[in-house]
Amino acid sequence: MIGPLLGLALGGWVYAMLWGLVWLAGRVVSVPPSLRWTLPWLLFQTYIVGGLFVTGDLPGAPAAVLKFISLVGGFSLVFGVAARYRQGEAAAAGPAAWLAAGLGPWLIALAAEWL
Amino acid sequence: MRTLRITGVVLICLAALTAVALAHTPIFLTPGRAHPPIRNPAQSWAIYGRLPPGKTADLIPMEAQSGQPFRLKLLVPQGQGAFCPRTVLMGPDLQGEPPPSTGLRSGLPGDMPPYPGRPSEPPLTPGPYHGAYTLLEPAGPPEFYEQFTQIRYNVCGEASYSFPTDGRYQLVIYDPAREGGTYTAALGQEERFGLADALLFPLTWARVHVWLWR
Repeated sequence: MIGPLLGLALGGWVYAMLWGLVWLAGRVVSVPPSLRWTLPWLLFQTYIVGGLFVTGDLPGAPAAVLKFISLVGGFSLVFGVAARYRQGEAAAAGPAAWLAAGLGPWLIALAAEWL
Repeated sequence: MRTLRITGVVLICLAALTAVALAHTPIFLTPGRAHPPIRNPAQSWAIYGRLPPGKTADLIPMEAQSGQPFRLKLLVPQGQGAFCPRTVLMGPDLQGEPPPSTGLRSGLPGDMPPYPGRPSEPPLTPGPYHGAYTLLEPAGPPEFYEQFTQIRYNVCGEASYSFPTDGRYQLVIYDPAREGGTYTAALGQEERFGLADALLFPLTWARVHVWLWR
């Protein structure tokens, strides 16, 4: 049991650090705050959608893509609303920015279903 | 920095919650394509399959050694009506009646399709000096909640046995009702889970749900 626990804890830390690094890089190159907070979310969704294309799971599953769009859309909305209630630069990224970042790759996947 | 600390703590809490479940290495079967043999059937594998309607079967070859444990749990995601595929283990030295506690009985079921798909493929019969054991109906609890992927399953059969001799074995999974559906065969029990598995976990979770929601 300690193996999976350790592995997932380490994996969690790596993702947290990657998120922080992207955010930090955004600060260094003066990316607007709204983009600085949502860019890691966009990159994470790009990794998932890209991975599904590489493994051959997509395209060919439009029903699954639609369910992911509702799931990711729901999470993006929650993050966006939560950001609105925060103080400081995080408040710059509202629901629209989070939705655009989260759903962008999935909308491309949906478009690929018809190509 | 406060946000980073909070994110880290949340991710570790999530990791601790999901790690309660067993770690299985996923295998996604492609319908109509033969899967390469599983070299270590004692290791934990989660085999995700989808049987199309009709007289077809999925074949999962395994290279096993004498005395190696054979643990199998056949699971069906809930919401598929009465779909419950049948599982047959074919291979060398599978002779005689195994004890009922193994979850197996000797012999081939009469409703097994003669070919995996097309009649041009090799027939589904055990070779000379080989035998076949069929999974019994489950005796344990009929439901199983898989915490890693948050999927609720019905248990369609469970077996615990030891491979009697070195050689190539084959799992045959088919639907006696010929209606088809999705299933997961949880094979083996030796957990292997490292940093690479943890990093790939979000993608694996997504792959499992594409398989489920397809």
